[in-house]
Amino acid sequence: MMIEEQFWETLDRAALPARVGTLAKEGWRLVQICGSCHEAFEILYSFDKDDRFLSLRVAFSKDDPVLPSITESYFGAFSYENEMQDLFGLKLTGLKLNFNGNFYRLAKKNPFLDTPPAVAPAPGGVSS
Amino acid sequence: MPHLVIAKLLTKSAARKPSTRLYPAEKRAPPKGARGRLVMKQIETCVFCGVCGKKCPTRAIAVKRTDKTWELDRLKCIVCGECVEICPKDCLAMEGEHATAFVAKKIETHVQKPKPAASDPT
Amino acid sequence: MGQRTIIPFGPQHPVLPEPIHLDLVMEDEKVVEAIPSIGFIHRGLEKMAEKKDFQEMAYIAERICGICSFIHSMGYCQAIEALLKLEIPKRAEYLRVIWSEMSRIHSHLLWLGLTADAFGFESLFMHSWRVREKLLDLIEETSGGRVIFGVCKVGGVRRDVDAETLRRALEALAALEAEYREIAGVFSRDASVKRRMTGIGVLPKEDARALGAVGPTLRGSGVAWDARRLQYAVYGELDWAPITEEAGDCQARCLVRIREIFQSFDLIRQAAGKISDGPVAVKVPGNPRGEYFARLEQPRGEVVYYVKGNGTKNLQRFRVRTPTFANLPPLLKILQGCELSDVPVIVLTIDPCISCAER
Ligand code: SF4
Ligand code: SF4
Repeated sequence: MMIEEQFWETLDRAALPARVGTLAKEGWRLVQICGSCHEAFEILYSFDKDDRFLSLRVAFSKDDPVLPSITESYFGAFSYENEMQDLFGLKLTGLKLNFNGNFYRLAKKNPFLDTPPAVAPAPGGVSS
Repeated sequence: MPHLVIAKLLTKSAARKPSTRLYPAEKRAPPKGARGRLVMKQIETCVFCGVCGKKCPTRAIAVKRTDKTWELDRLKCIVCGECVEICPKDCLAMEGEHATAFVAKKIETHVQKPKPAASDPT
Repeated sequence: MGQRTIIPFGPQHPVLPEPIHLDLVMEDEKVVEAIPSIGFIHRGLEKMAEKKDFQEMAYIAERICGICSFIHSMGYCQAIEALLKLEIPKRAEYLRVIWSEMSRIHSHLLWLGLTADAFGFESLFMHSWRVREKLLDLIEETSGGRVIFGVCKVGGVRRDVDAETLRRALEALAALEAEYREIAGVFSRDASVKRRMTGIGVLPKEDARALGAVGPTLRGSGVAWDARRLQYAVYGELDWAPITEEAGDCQARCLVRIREIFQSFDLIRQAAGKISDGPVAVKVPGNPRGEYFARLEQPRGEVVYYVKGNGTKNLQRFRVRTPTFANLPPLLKILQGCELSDVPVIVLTIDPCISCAER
């Protein structure tokens, strides 16, 4: 199997819109945006151009859940950003199509925000 | 633009016997190797090691060594066959026929009868 | 300007196999804007990876979707194998390709049926599914499951297909292909089918690219991007090229899928011809550490798996970006300005899989 070479860049969230803007001009395709939240927020933006795969990493503290939107350069990013907004309770600034937390209809608000409880001992298995 | 391109297909299928079966009167024989449902084939040889329950990704099996029981929650079982592959005593088997629908949740319990007086070889 | 009304479309609607809700802002018979809301079947499967053993997670990954099930587990396993730097046996790679092409055919046939149903061509719907049913039997014979294959695991595949079964499967596939050819002819030539699809829901090339469309939605607009070009598994050793159509309308997206089914039949034949003997799985060495994006081509388009492991048996983050999620923005774009009666057909031509999109 071929393991694809992947490129990474870490940057500050303030620098994000400008960097993404350049990528958009160079003709990169937005592949995905992935949010994750453990000790801090970590958002990954992946792009693809001519079979090169580049991911930008933006990390920031949980106390300040604000992120600039990239819908200026990639309008299609609105679905990912609204998803993050609903699942993680992030606040996106400058989001061009903002559902204000109504994109996902969820039973629980921001379900992905809290860290999971420690692994509970699973039932089943052997007991004596 | 051509109309009724489907006509040929329709005439053909009108001449043929139906593609469907009169289930449940007529049942399909499941192909060899199909994973339909898990069965406890022989509780007599089970040594209650509990490997099947540990390997089961959905924790559908509970093994109680003291009571010599082997329990299956069929609604949890995803019929993956991991337990069948791992069982050292070849107690479990996969049948091709699917389990039927349920009206109520229940746990299937298999109890090993106490062995005749002779001591247990294992 | 006429008066605007809002018509709710879904979550329960005859053409929708799964729940998605669209608020259609109408001006007379024209759709001005479509506003989606999803989440009716959000199951939090991504979060589950943080509690489940990474090897058991392959079964859950497979259940993200009931139609493109096999490729989901395959993508998950590939991502983990990349983290573990695990080289899996060649035979397993070939079997994975054969099964993923089978699942592509079965998914596209399902789609053809649903689309025929969406424009009211019931008999065509039945015939598509009649052929699909035979394929499901073949899948069951080779893998053991009809829709959920359950054969992919980290390190290879769980069962081998013996030469005799493979030979019989190939024969059956050849017969199926002949039957399918008749159905394909109806889709590509019949006047009533054409009338419902030609010129409807046009997605220009630039928009498809800019809005991040993937799969047949993208290729129907003339962009030759297919994730199989990354040559994962053994796609690099097979002879094939992405299929594109230029028009960008519903008909073009339909033609792409029709031709892809023929291509899949061919890929299965090629793979079965080249498959070599050998083991089908290797032992998994330890726990995954690091992060990786695996990209594969689902019947509905490119799917991305992100896995991040920290050396324990639970993953830290598992993320799936499914094709339908990427195809939502293009869908909203092509719904703008269409007729109300065309909405069902247009929604179906992106092949929406909502449980994929929400996970
Ligand atoms: S693995 Fe086999 S022998 Fe062990 S408890 Fe399960 S059924 Fe019994
Ligand atoms: S078949 Fe799979 S899910 Fe069912 S009991 Fe066995 S291991 Fe568990």
